[in-house]
Amino acid sequence: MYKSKRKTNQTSLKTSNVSYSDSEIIKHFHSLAIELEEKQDRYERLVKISRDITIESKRLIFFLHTFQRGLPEGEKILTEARSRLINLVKTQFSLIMKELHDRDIHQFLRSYSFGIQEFVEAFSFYNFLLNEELLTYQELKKFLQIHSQDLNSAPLDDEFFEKEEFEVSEKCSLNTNITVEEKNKKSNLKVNVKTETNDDCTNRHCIITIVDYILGLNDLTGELMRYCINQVSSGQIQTAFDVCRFLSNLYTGMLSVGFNNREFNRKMFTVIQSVKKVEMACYTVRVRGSEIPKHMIINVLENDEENDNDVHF
Amino acid sequence: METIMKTFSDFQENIDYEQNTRELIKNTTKEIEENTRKIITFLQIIHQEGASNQILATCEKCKLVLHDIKLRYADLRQQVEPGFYYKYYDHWKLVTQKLCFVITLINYFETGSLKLREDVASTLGLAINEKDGFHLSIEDYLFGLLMLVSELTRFAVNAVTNGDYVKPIQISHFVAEMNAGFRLLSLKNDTLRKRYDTLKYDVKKIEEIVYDLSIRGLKPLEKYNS
Repeated sequence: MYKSKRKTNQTSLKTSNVSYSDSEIIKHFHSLAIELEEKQDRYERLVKISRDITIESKRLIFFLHTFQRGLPEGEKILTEARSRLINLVKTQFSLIMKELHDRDIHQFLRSYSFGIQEFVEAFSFYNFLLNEELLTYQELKKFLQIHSQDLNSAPLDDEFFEKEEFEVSEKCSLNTNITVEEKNKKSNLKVNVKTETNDDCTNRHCIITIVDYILGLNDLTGELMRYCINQVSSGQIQTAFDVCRFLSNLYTGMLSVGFNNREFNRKMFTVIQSVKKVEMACYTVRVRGSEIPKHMIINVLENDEENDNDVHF
Repeated sequence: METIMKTFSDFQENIDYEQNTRELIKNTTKEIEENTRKIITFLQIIHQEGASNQILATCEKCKLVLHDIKLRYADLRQQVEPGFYYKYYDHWKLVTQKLCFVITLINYFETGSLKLREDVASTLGLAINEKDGFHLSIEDYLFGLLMLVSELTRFAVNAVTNGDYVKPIQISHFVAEMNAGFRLLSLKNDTLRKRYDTLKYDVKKIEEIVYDLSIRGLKPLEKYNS
């Protein structure tokens, strides 16, 4: 009696197992599994790309700190930095664009936005050293648009590179104050030189969102602070004052926006620390600069820092 | 300084624009949420004693509300620019999951089968491909299914209490199949995974019910099962 009951249980289990393999539910889940996995894989690939961008950007920033205005190596440093930025866009950013081609970038934003912020930090730092101006979002998007490659379509033609040269020369002559007229000229050009390539950047779906750009600028302040202190220690007092002014302007700009974002607020806390530190450094230079030999000033600054119990970066 | 101020005023504009969009979306999702709560409340009748003959009528009533909800989703589609679905996703994520649940639940009572993702999507007037803009995400559908299993388990308990020994057996088959389905998915360590981890308790509960019925000879004969 007992035995037979167990047997029926087993057979019923068996039949249900058989029915599983061709059941509609299981088939449906199979297709769902494929889609889900594809999504996860894409996410992971983006995380990896982002990590590569972060590493290279950090190295680039470190490298840029060796820059000093007026020194002959300065030019070389900036040129190399620029080519490294271009290289990043050509390789890693093009990969991101490939992954996100035709997709909603916001779904994957979290996977790569850290790398983007680090890149913005490096790029805007480079831009500051180049012309003491803030890198604008438009310039950033344009840079991306020009230098990225569409890995989905054919290789780029000569036109593409001509356009790049145009951009470079324009940048040198115009600095960043682009008038409306020139902007129009630019956009006309954009239409003429048709690049399907960079759809991802011409429209509002640029892989760099404005939020990541702003958060990248937050990080820039930390680099400017370090740069400023280094300038003081190497006796470049005027540069230090310039950086200080730029930094406080940047901070004013940040204060002017009502942006309720946790990360932004968190970063703003570090920003004010940097601003204060730089302002204090300039103050010390001004007040005691005449009485201390230049190479000693840095010691004074460091002592001040310790007294302030400030966070070290 | 000019460049800096321009940069940040542009950014402010961007924030304001986004804020407006959010307001619009919030108003729409609020209506969807209200209607969804209505449906969920209607459906609680399934747990009541002697209400089994009213279930199908209730389903019809719910479908009318669902029709309303579909119109609101059409509004949302208008309010969310293409390519920004996931930017505002949090606004409708939860309610969409609940809707997947009620739609599959209603369908289960009507047909005894699982309503597939594309059918759920079309009930709400949504696409299933990300490329087609406003769509039903795969995760939301799966969340809905997990809720469905929980609700059916609870229903099975009450069905036994109300003297219905057939439905729990049917549900146990259904849940076992769903469980097998979920095992095919490789879930990441996220909220869906956490929710999935509770599936085994539902499975266990329904197995216990079947056991209780079997051991007491209350389990209906095989021929009634299908």
